[in-house]
Amino acid sequence: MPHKILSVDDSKTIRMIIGRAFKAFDCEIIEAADGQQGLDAVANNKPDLIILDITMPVMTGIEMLTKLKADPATKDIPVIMLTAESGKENVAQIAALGPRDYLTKPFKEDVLLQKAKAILPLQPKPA
Amino acid sequence: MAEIDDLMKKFGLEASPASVAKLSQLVSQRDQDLDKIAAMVKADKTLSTRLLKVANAKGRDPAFTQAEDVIFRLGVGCVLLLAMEDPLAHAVKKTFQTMLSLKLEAVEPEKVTTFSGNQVIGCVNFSGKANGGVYLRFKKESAKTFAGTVLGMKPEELDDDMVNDTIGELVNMVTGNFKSNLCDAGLNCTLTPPKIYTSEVFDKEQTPGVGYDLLAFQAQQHPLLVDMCVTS
Repeated sequence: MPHKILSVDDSKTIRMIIGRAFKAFDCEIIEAADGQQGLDAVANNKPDLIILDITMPVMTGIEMLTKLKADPATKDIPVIMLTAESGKENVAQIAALGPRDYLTKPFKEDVLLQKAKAILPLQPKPA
Repeated sequence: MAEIDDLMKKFGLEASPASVAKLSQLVSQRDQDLDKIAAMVKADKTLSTRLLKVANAKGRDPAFTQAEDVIFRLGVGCVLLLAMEDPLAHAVKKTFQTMLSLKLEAVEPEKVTTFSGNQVIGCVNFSGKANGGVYLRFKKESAKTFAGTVLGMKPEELDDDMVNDTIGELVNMVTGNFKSNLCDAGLNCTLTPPKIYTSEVFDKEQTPGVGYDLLAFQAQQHPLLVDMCVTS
């Protein structure tokens, strides 16, 4: 069964880059453009990993992460936070919410993959 | 502080650039003694010259002729503008190097101030302990080329919406990094979402604030202008 990776970001560019990063691996990429869509996608797809932006309309990544952690059904889904804001106060505030990892923008795809591989046993896509 | 440093290490996040320390030092003096700040600027001829340039950038009449007059009349906003240059330049170069594998070279703004035809402009305002705005400006064809590089697509395959989305994300990365550096220096502020628009002209007179500065970069025949203004 391919792993399910949920990519939550209001930027289509970022969602495309994330999709491209995992292209060679046996996984299904699900996309959401805000935190509410993200929660709906979690309920419908039960992803194995969530890559989550912070600043989004409708519902922010922080709000979405808080709701995920408050629900026994979703609290253990690993989350990699992805954000342009790398200030120390931000990092401390977000780390307290319990994401598995944190990646700042701009980012290299191989760094994202490295962090994902530390969480999921990604396998190459079958020929 | 040690806890935060441990977190930064745990997540593999890089420390603020050295220029932020300089900005921190200036911010810490901000509320204390304008005389000290004025003396510091006056003692540095290069800083004085640059300060007069940004304070008079909008054609002020009569123009300031003494750096200390700028500080006493306008406050430290213009001085902070100069100190913000390095963190902003670092954020711009880091974003383009990481996302496009493109090395931007800083060039004299006078060499690239004129964009003929439409330019794509990304604008973000910041407010809080520092207030102002940052504008990234691209020639339209450069914006398409840069967007194509980020997305791994040919420029002709991209429509305006996609170009604007990619440019908006690059602007988000530059200003997000810049904001993080401001916050680490003690200038906590919030950012507006990036606004992307095209325009034949850019009028620096319409940028808010008392001080204005312009940075210019170039890579592979593609110029990039970064305008910065500070209100306080």
